[in-house]
Amino acid sequence: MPKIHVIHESGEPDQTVEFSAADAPFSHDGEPGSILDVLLGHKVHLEHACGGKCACTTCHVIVKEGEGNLSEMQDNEMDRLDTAPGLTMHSRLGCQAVPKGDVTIVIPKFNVNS
Amino acid sequence: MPPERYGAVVERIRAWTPSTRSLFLRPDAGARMPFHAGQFISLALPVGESPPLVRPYSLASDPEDALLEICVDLVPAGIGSRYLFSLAVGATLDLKGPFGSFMVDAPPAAAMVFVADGTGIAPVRAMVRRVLAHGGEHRVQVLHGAPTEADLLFHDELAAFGSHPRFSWEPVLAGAGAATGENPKLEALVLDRYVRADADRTRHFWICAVGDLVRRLREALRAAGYERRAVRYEQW
Repeated sequence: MPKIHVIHESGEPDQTVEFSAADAPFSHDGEPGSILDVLLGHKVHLEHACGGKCACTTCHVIVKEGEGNLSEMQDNEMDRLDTAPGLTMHSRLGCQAVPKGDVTIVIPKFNVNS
Repeated sequence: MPPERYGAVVERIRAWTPSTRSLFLRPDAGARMPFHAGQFISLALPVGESPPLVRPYSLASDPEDALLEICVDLVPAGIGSRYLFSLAVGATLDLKGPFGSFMVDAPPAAAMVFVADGTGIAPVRAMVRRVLAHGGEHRVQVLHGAPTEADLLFHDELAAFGSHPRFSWEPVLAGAGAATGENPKLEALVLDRYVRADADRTRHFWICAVGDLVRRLREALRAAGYERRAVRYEQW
């Protein structure tokens, strides 16, 4: 089963969630099986001011490992990321990126859009 | 304008139809939330399997209005909208905002076309009020989709703006019983008028609706040659 390893830039302890993609959705928000959906369904907090509808960037995460295990980025995610503070070459939106294998992500301290 | 948390009281409710209403919210203690016309707020609702349930609502109000206005569609299976429909005047809500980049940051030197369906008119109404108040010479057009005339939110106000020389407002009715977010007439009109009718690709678009109509229009307009950043959208 794929695992999402979460590093909190805020200094909270790391967390790891193991899940079966076949069980998605795990919550009410984000693409089914997305990082946001999986984390919310396993009680790991990730901001999502727009309810996971790709209308903001508060679920911005930075992928440390396993980028190739994520679904391909679509136009709507690219359009939103254009407006994200702290954008990196490895940025994704948790509500859109669907893991197909293990990934390690960082939740930045600034994951609110301004 | 970094987002902040606010408590708010439902000060007024306007029922547009049995399944659509506006809630007018007053932030606590006279606080005023600065925002750009077109942005949204995020409500933290005390419902769902692991509350709070976070739900976004575009602001229909102007930044200078005293109250924040949101337009809510009752979704039969939607626990968030059912909760909001249960609220009476005096109820309290927790919200955070503003969020989003669906706005007119700088009016372009080109025609502006706003395409809205259903409650997607909420942020468009806010932006159009602002744009018309600030002058300019380019055309401002609103294509306003809804099932029937009774479902056209802000009908009277938008019709009254019609006296403005550079503004036009055009209802596009999908017919009684049309599903939320499905308006084939609106989609066809946009493509006929702005893709097939001429080769002008200088227009700027703002598109807001529920569902996949937004993605289809965005992709069609960009594929037809409009600048990517000239096609802005909010898909709820």
